[in-house]
Amino acid sequence: MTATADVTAAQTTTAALKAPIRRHGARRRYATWAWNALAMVLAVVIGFPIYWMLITAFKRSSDITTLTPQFWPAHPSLRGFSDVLHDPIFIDDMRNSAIITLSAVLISLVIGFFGAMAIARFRFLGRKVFIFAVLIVQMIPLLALTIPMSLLLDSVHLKNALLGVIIAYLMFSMPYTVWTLRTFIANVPPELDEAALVDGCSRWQVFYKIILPLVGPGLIATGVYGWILAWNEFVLANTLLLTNDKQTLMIYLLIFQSSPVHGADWSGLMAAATLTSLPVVVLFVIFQSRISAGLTAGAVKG
Amino acid sequence: MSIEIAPDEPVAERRRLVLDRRRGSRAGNLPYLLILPASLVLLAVAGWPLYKIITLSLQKQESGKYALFHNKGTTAFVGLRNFTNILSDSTFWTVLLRTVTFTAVNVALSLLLGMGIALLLNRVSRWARIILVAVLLFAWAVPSTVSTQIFYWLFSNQYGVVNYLLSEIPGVHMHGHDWFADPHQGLAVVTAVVVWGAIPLLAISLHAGITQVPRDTLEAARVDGAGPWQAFRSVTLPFLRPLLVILTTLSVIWDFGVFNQIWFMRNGHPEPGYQTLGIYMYSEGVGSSHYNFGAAVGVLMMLCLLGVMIFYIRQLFRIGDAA
Amino acid sequence: MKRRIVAVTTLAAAAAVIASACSSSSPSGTQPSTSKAAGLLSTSGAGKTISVWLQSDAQKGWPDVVNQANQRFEQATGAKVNVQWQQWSNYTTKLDSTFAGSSGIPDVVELGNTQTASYIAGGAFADLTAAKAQFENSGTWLQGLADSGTSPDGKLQAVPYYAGSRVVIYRKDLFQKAGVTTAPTTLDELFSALDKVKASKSSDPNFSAFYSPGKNWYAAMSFVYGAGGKIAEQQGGKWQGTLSSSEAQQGLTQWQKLSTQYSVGGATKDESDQDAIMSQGHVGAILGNGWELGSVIDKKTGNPALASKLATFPLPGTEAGKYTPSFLGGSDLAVPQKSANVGLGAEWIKIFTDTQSQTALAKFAIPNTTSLLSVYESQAQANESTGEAAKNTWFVPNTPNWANVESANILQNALESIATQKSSIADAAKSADDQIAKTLNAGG
Repeated sequence: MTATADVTAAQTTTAALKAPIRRHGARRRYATWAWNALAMVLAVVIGFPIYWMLITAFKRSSDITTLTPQFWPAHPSLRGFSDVLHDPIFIDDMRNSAIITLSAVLISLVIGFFGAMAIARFRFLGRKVFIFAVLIVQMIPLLALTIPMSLLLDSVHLKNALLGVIIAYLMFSMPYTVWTLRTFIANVPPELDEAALVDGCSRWQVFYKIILPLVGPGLIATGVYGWILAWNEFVLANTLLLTNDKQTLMIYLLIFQSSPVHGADWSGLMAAATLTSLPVVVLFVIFQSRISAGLTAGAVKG
Repeated sequence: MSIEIAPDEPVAERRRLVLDRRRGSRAGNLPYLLILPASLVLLAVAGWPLYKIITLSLQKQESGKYALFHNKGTTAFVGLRNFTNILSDSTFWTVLLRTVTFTAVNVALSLLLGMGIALLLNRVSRWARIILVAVLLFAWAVPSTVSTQIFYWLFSNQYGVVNYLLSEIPGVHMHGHDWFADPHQGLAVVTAVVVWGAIPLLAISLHAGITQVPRDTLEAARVDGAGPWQAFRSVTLPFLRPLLVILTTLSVIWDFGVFNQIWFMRNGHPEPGYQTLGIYMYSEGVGSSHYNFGAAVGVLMMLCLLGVMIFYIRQLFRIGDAA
Repeated sequence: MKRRIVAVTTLAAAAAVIASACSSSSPSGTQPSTSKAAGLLSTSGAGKTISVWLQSDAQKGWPDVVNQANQRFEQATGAKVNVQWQQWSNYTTKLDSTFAGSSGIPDVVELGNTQTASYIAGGAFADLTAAKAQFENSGTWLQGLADSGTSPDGKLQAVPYYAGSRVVIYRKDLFQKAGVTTAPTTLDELFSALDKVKASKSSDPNFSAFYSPGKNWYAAMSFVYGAGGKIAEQQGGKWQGTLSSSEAQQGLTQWQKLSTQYSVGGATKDESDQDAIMSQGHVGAILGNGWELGSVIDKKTGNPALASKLATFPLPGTEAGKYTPSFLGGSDLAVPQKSANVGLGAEWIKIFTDTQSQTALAKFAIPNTTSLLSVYESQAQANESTGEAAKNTWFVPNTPNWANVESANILQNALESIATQKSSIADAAKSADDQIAKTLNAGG
């Protein structure tokens, strides 16, 4: 018997399984509560740095680094947030970041999905070369790329253009998408394709009617990844975008750091960082709940 | 139920062959059509810069910037001289060893904790899952520059929360302890940031993978008398293996080239004991405008990664062939 | 696709070579039709826009100075000014990649004065020598700043913008409570004053009588220069690190004493957050730029409650009346050689650095000319000390490779090992000397 045990056989046993599960219900409930408690402890530990970021954003500067740490702002102030929100540059940079990130992620998902379909479902000449190329590209250290990428975009007149940065970001988001989506597609049993083809679906219909909905979680996971990498990338954006009206949020955050003629505005920085992270969180909390509903429906059973 | 690893390949193989046979010529050019856009992107955005990096690494490192400003960085070809210079420098080997150790520790910790949390997410109530996932997403969304700054505060010698809390434990006097005086301790703090930043992606991806594990197979295993650990080992793990191979590969790539977390933890002045290859490449290469040198280090980093990951790449091709 | 891109780049590269071949013979030659016969400077800019890269220091500190210069420039030339605020972080990589290409080249850039030499050597800037006489106060520019903008063969490539010098910023109240009522005039007096301050706060284990972070090479090298030493010198065309000299080691010993006996918790840190630390109240004094006093008491970056308690004095020297020299930090302005508007860029620099602009700037930073130091000093008590300190300064070895000594953290690493007492002064100095020599003499 193999791990992908004969599905129909497993289904017939399901009914038999239900009774013992019910009998162990009480023990299970205690176990669940124990797991819940562990999850909350982890949430507190993992969340503490975020909590620290949040309360720092509300602190007076003289309360940020104190000998006895302030676990709650003694003199809460909205100064940091209001400075950031009243700064037109912040809004502009938010828009630039959104355009760049959204484009890079969507293009990566579309192109990457096709690429992943090809290597997950077909065997063809050059397939290994393609997989290898996708892998190698991810090994290129981003920092070594600043000058070559800059020269490349300069020669095609895409320096200081959002499009140039979008293209540059495809370099790390697209290969990752191909890679990860491939496994998600591979986990969809080929019998599904087969059945759909027999039912008269075209190849393309199989892609977007059968496989696409089933790899939803994978799309979200890879989309989140590409989004965060692009949203938080600094070196390339700072090198390729020259003017203030084109810069991204990561470049904006630098304004708060100390420089030769002024100290660091930490509560401003943490307020800006919070506002920078928030859209990402909100976006994916929304997506997560929407998609996970579909993914637990047991579509994989085939 | 004596299941060993690599269970589904023969089955998948058979299915695929059946499918291929039935499809016959209909598949035809389709795969090529599918990879065309991706290949174009790879060629345009990665191919040329990669070619340029290799070219730069084979050209003379001049101390000045004249060639850069007036000749697009083109200098005379000097063969492998940049490489022999780097490889004959003992610093490089120290840095390489440190990087390999750092990577191994970070990848292992990230994967273990990521897998643990992914499994936990599968066990907990809906509300607990939502809270933990929200925290994970938030942790993931915070830029590494900012999270590093926060960890730096938390571990500050006089004003840090960590030393403060540790000193609250009776008998422990950590106040004023400088975590960064000893690079080993300092890199442990860096590890905390790196792992903290890596867990969300790993946990969420693995959790998404786990939800795809066929319920019936798991329950069948349980009926056969498998305990939770056995069920995990014999069903979940093999099912997740392709995803794990990919996540491991990627974690190795990221941790091997880690930069931000070390750079900002040392406020842009990393001491020799903090040099990993990413830092080395920046402070000796790119940051000093030594782009040829930096490119050579970059090429060496890629070669090292390839060397380290031969095993994983072979795994990958096996999986790739099987699917 | 790939082939097309390669073809395009080759073409562009060829074009760039031709362009640079033409322009390097005469920087103003690229714009013969728009430059007036008067020489390098151009005032015919109708319909044009020049792009100016300034650090955001000006945006936060003295935006009005920039605005008035822009208005006068626009009136004088008819051209518009597009100021792009920059950040120091990753700035050299941005400049490098911009100057390597051919698009998006600004017409004026600001540079840190220790970075300028490497760009001058790289031929990044237009030669402004022909216009030097037309820059106001060019005869009285601060020496260190002017030197940093001049090429080894004496050509003016970058114009002094503003400077900063370091002084002792101290808590008057704490010093008085410890019985120190007059500012120390010698190093010995300083140390005995610090002894008193330290004794008066002996109950506070976190108290630094003088917070001196272990990576603050600006401070440490001041002691080296004050003791008669220097970082490096050129002999027979070769650079040699000279931190091992007995004078330099004497200076390092003084700095080590300051950093280990009077400073708590900063051994592995740099100076960037010393004003925030001072604002916490457990610090008696720091060696900082004049503006850092403002940071300590600023409500966004420090603690306004300390406003009346701070004062400054120049870092004393070994004998009374002889200060320990201060590092002359600052910025230069230059016109990129690939700029399409060299004449207009130079004209903007001329207006932004003239007496009117610099007088306005003197409220916020040390102006670029000794003739306006009195204006600067009259602004505030702190300025008297920094102005005084600006008269006796030291500067890094003015050579293109110096920037790499900074980027490789050679001095910081050596100093940290001295401050943490992980290695002896002699060993740390020797190791730094070797690395400095290797870096400065790198050929090519």
